[in-house]
Amino acid sequence: MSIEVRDLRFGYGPSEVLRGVSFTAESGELTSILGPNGVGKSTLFRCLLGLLRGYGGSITVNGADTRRQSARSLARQVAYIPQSHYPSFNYSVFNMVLMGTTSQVSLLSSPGPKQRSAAEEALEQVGVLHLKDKGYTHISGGERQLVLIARALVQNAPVLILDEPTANLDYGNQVRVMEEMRKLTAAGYTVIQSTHNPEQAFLFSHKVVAMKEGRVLAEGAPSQVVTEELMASLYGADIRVCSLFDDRVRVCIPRSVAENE
Amino acid sequence: MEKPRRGGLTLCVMGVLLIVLIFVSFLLGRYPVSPGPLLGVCLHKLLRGLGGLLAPVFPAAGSWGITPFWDGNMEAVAWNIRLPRILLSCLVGCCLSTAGASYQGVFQNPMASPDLLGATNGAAFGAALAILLGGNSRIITLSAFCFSILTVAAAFLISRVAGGKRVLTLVLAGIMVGSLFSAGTSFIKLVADPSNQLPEITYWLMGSLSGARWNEVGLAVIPMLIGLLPLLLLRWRVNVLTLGDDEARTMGVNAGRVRLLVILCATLITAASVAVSGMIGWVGLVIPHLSRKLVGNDYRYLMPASMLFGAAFLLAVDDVSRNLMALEIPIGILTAFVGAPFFIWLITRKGDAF
Repeated sequence: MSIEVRDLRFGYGPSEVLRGVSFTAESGELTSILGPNGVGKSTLFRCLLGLLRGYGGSITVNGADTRRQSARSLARQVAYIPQSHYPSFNYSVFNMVLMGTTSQVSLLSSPGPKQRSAAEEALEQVGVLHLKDKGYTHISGGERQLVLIARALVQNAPVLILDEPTANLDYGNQVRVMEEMRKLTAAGYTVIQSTHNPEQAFLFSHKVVAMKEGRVLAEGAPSQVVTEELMASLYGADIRVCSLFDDRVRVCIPRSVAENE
Repeated sequence: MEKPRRGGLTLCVMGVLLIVLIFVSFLLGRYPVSPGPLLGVCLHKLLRGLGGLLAPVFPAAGSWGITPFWDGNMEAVAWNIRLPRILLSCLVGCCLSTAGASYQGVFQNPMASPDLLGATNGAAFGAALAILLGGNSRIITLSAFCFSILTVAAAFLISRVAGGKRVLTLVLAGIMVGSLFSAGTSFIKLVADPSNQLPEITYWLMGSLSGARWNEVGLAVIPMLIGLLPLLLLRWRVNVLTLGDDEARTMGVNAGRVRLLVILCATLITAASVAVSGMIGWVGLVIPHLSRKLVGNDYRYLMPASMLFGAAFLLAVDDVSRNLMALEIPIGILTAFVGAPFFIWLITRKGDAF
């Protein structure tokens, strides 16, 4: 299973946000999209999820163009994991996860026993089954993120898209969410995330796509993309990138701090 | 929310309460009706109906029935006056409350109520216009129904032309068209004959079920059932839609189409209710919220709970409206008297967040 984006172009009115974005994400790999604010990451994701349809270029999942697919058939291929949020109405954690099965039940019916047991399994898999009967807005941000991951899992889609999954989480929860994503990648999912943290992208992903001004600046293995030159040009800041533990970790430090001594 | 909710059990209890309330409502009123003969009449009518259906197969069934041991006047009061009124108040309460719950879901807004898109303002205008032009009660009902649908349709078309954030423009368009029609209603009141038309309009606007006969029930029940059934079936999709359009779409729900369908059905039942009962406020806002407190936000339980609770609530209020004083109190006034303080109590209860 792979997702291929080819020459993707999109503009709101006259201003073009995406100016020819191309990259591929393979199954069993975690692909991180890096880039400064306003670079078009969200627009890119909205195109991938089929929420924006008037784009130029193409998006294919396993060779099939996603543009003309109905919301329902696209939902069976691509699942979305938003940032943990507060919905207008509080639902139990279990019902929140059960909503992920919607594309499997017909328009006029509700999820049945098969979907219910799938939801329990998914909660078990991400380790939050004990929260099943709690209100979704009564649990912590990290727990909510895990619940949203479980919801994407019951959707049975091979491609998972996460919008800054660790934003607003404390360090422990960031690690828990990233570990979960690593497990999913190992299980064969195609995982695409956006992140503002180059160190995390280096540490956890198999591929990094650096975006700038609506284009792909660099695409490749983390060691090729998370470099001093590229980070400096990407964020327009003077950054030192230090390699630690035999290059298993790279740390970004503003040069002004790094060379103060 | 912390403990698992037994939604099914709550629904059963509500259903039983509604049935008891219906039976009690028969007994209330100026003309005395006692339980024994009432049961006799009910059983008699049931047997007659069943017999009528079976007569082609078993000719003997045609003569089924109970020899009357009751007074004929009592039968007429129970059957021709109280029963249609009971049915109509249950139907109207059920529809207004269901429409409110549906609007709240598809607009992702806990404050939405059936008049959000101007349906009641349109109905008021339609009724006032028909009264001004001297229409009979059937014309008034039809005109109110048509203008109610027309208002929502106009709001919908305007929001299509306006573009932008679709949900927001739809709500704004609804408010605008609604206020336009209420200005129209004011104008009609100004030019109406103050000796007979004006009081009739004013009375209609206050909302009342006093005119309920079998005719009205027969007229209203068809659009009501056409609207209620899809809403009941779509209730899982409404759950997903409360999370917002984008999230719903990524889970395979065609948000725009489901919303359109829900709005269509909710408008249909609101229009049918307002057309036969006039303006009855608060039911569509208060009852869905009370139901949320009882069974939670899950529409699989919330939708039927709103239906049952709405029916029971309006029936109870109507019982008060026709028995409290010698002169009948318009039910719209009573629902506001009961609804507003009740809602304040509901939102100020500690620990409850919307």
